Amino acid sequence: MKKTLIASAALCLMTANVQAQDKPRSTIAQSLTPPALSQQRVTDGLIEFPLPKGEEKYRAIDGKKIHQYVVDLANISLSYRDAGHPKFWGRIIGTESDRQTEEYLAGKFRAAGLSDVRIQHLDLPPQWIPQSWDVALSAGGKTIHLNSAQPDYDAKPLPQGGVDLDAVYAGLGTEADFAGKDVRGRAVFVYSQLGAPDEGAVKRAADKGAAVVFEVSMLPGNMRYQAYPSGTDAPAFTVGNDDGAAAREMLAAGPVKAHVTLDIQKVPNLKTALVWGTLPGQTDETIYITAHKDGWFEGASDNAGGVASMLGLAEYYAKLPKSQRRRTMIFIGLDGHHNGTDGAVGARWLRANKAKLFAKTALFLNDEHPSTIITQSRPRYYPGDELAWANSYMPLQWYAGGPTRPELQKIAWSAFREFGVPLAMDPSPQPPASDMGFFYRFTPGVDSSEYHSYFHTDWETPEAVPWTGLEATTRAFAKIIDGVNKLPLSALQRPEDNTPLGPYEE
Amino acid sequence: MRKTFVCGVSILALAVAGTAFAETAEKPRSTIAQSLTPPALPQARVTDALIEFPLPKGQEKYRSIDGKKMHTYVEQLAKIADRYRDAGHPKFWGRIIGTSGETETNEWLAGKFRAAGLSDVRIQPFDLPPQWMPQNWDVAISAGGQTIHLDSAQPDYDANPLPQGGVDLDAVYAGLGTDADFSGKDVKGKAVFVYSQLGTPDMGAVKRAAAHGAAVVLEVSMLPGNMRYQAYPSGTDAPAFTLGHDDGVKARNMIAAGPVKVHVSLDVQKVPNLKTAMVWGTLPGATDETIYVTAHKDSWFEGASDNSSGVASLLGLAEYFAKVPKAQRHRTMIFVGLDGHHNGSDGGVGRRWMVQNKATLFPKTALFLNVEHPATIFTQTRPRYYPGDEIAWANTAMPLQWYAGGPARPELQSIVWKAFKEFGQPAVFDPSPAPPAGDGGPFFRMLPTVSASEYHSYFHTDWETPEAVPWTGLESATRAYAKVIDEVNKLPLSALQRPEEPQPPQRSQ
Repeated sequence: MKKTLIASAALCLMTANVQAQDKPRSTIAQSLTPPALSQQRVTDGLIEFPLPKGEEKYRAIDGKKIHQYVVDLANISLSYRDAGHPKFWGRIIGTESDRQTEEYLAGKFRAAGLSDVRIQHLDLPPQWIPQSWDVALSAGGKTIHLNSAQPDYDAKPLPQGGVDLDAVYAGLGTEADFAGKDVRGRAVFVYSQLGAPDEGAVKRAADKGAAVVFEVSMLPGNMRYQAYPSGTDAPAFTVGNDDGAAAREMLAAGPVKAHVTLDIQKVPNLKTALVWGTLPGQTDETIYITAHKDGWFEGASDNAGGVASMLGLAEYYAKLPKSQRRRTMIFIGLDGHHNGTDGAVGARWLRANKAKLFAKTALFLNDEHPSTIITQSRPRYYPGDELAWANSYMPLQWYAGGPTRPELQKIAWSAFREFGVPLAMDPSPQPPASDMGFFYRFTPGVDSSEYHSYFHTDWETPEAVPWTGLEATTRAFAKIIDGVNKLPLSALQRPEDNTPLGPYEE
Repeated sequence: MRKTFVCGVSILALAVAGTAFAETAEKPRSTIAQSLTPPALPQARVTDALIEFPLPKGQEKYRSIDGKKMHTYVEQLAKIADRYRDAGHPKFWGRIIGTSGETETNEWLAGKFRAAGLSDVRIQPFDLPPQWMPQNWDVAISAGGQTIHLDSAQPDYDANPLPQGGVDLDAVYAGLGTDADFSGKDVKGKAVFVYSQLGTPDMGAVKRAAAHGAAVVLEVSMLPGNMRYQAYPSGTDAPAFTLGHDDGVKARNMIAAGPVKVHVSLDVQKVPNLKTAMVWGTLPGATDETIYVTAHKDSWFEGASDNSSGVASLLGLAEYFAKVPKAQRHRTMIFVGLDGHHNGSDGGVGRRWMVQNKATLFPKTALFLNVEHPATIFTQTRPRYYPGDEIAWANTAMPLQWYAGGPARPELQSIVWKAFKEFGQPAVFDPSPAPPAGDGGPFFRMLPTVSASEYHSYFHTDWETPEAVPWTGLESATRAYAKVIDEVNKLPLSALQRPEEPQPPQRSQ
C-alpha cells in the first residue's frame, strides 16, 4: 500500500508537470495505455467476498488460480498478434490461435482428470479476414491517420488502392443531425457511446448514401473496438474517442478529405473445433457446461474469463468421488459466435444433434464473461477523463430457465447472492446475448454475462478480469449445479419453446 | 425471499405480456420489470434483494451499525422534501436552504441528536444573502399546429429570469454542441438544444451555445427516461435549462421535421431575509482533541442519496459512539449538520463561518470526516444487450470516489483504504488529489480530512428516491467510517496534522 501511495504521489507530480503543456487526461494514477493499472495493484486491491458459513467445500475454487488461465489465454492471442497479425487479432476461429487454444484447453481437461477428452474439428465456411486497412484524413496540408479505426466484422472491401472521399460530420447521427446535409458518396462521422441511446446512426448514414461510415465511440481513450456486422453495404469502421475528436476538430475547421483502404479476403478451407471432456456421474442424466473459446484481441473477459471459470468447475468436480456426482458432467469449449452467420458451427452442430445429446439434460450452464472489473466512464467530479476502475466486479445480467422454471431461477438468484455476485434485479426474458441463445429453447439453461466498457476492445486485458469475481461467480455456479442435482429432471425439463430464432441463431 | 421471487416472476410475465401488446403501438422502453416512473423498483424488493457484506471476524462490535435502521432516516428526510413540494412548490423543491423544508430538517436532526444522547445540541442560525427562487417557468415547442410542453425542463441554478410573459424563439438543434455541431449554424437569439449524458465527454456545449449568441440553451440529458435534473449555475448570461431525455427526443424529432418555435418563460425572485442553520451535537471524549463528523442537510428533490444518506450515516455514527463509554472515546466528537453547498456563492455560509473560526474550532482536530453520498444503488445506463432502454438496477452499491488526507498523510490513506476493503465497500483504486466535490473542499487544506462520495445516474434528479439508497451500502460505508475513527484514535495528532496549504485564489466547488 505504502509503495503504491508513493507511486501515485509521484504520478500526481508528473501529471502536474504535464499540465503546463497540455490538458492531461488524468490527474490520477491510471495509465493512458492498457492496462489502466498493473496486475499486482489490481490483485491486491480487490475485495474478496467471504466464503459463507456452511459453504467451506467451495473454498477449493480459487479465483487467483482461475485468473492464471485468463492470462494463459490472453497470451495465446498476443502470440498470434505478434506472428504477423497486428490489426485483426485474437483467438480467431480457423487461425493458428484457434489451434493453440484447442490444444491448451484439451491439455487442461486432461490434467484435471476428465475422460473422453477430444477435439472435434468442424469445417468453416470462408472466413472474413481483413488483410490491411488505413484511414487518413487531410486538410490544409496536414494528414492524420486514424490508427484506432477497425472495420466492422464482415465489412465489404474497398476497391484496390482505396477511395478518396469528402468527409462529413453527422454528430449523433439522428435525423436532426443529417438535416440539410448531403452525405452521398462521402465519409460520414457519427458519434456514440456505450450507454447513450441507440440512434441507428450507422444504418441511417448508409441509407442516406454514405460511401463509408465511421462510428466513433466516445468512451475515454483511443480503443480499438471490433464491432459486429453493421448490416450496411457501405463499409463501417469503429474509431476511438481521441481519433474521433481529432477528426471532428478538423471537420469543424474546414473541408476534409478522407483516404480509406480496406483489403479483405474470404479465406476458404479453414477449420474450427469443439473441445470435449467428461466427468462420468452416477447416472446417464447430464449437466453441460460450455464456454466459447474465441475472442477479439486478448478477450480476457470475453471469453477467457468464461473458459477459465469452466476449468475451475471441471477441476472442482473432478476431485469429487464419482459417487458424489449425481449426473454426468460434460464440458465443452465452444468454437464461438463472433463471426455472424460464418461462425457458431459448433453450436449449430450441437443443436442438430440435440435429440441424442440433450435427452436427459438437467442443466445447460453457459459460462460467458463471468467477471469484469467495475469501471465508470468519466464519473462525475472524477479527476480524469478516463474509465475509472474500482476494486470490485460488475453486476451480471442473467437468465435461469425463464419463468417456467421458477425453482431454477430461485436456485440461481440465491446462489449468486450467497457468494456475493451482484445481479441485475430481474432476470432477462431470454439469455443475454451469447451462445445460450442456441440452446435455451430446449434445455434448462443458465447464463449470466457482462459486457461493459472494454468489451471487444484491445483494452480487454487480464487486469480487467478480477480474480474475486471469477471466484465468486464460479463458486455460485458450483452451488447452482449442486442445487440442480437435488431436483429431478421433471422439475427442469420443459417442452421445446418454438418461438422464432434470431438472425444469428438459425 | 420466495414471495419476492414469485412476485418478480409474475411482474416479469405481466411486463412481457404487456410489452408484446404495446409493441404494435410503440416501441416499449422496457421488456423487463422496472417501473417507468420512480422508483424503478419498490422498496421491499430492493431491501430483500441487496447483498449484505458479512461482518468480518473480529469486527463484531460494529454489528450495531445497522443499515436498515439508517435507511429509515433516509426515508424520513425524503418525506420532509415531499412535504415541502406538496405545500405549493411543485417544481423547485427539496430540503432547500432558507425554506420550511430546511427548518423541518434542522428540528428533525436536532431531535435525533438529542435522542441519541449527544450533549450541547443546538441549531446555529445564519443570515442568507437573497436566494434564487424560480417561481414559475414553462418551455413549449410548436410546429405544424402542434404544441408540446417540455415538463422535465428545469432551470439551471442562478439562471437569469426572462422578460415577463416569456420569449418566443426559433429552435435550433446543435447535437453534441461541439464546434463541428455549430459550424454553419446561426444560433443568435435562438433557443438552442444540445445533448449530453453522464459519462460522455464534457463538450462545453452550454457555454459554447451561449458564446455563439443563443438566447436560451436547453441541455438534454440522454439518460433514459424523463428526469428533472437541477444543475449548478451554467455561468452564462443566457438562461440554461436541463431537459429529460424523452422531452429532448420530442424536441429533436420536431426540429428534424421542420421549423419549430419555442415559447420560454422563467420568473425568478431573489428572496431576501432568509436564514439557514447548522445543527450541532457533541459526544465528549477523554481529551479535548476533536473529531468532527459533518454532513450537509440540504437537497434538491428528495435528495435521498445527496445527502439524506450522508445525514443518516452521520446519525449512525453518532448513535454508535454514543453507546461507547466516554472513557473509551479518546477524543471529543463533534457532529455538525451543515447547511449545504448547492446554492453557489449564495450558499455554503455555514462552512464559511467554520473556516473563519478555524483557530477556535480546529486547533486539536485529529479528523474531519465529511459524510456525503455514502450509498447509491448500482445502476448502469442501457447496458449492452439489456432488454430495456433504461437505467438497470443491480443488488449492490456503487463504488466511491475518496480522499483521505492526501499524500502527506499516508497513514490516514492506508487506514481508509483498508477499512473500506474490510467492510466490503468498493472504492476507486486511487484516492482523488482533492476531496471529491463536496463540503470537504474548504477544509482539506487545513485539516486531516476524509471524504468519500458517489454521484451517479440519479444525482440531483427527481428519481433520487430512498429506493436508490441501498441499506447495505449505508451499513458498509458507516461501519468503515467507525473503523476509520477508531484507527485514527490510535494515532497521535502529530501523525495527522500538517501545516495548512495555501488556498488557491479561486476554486470552484
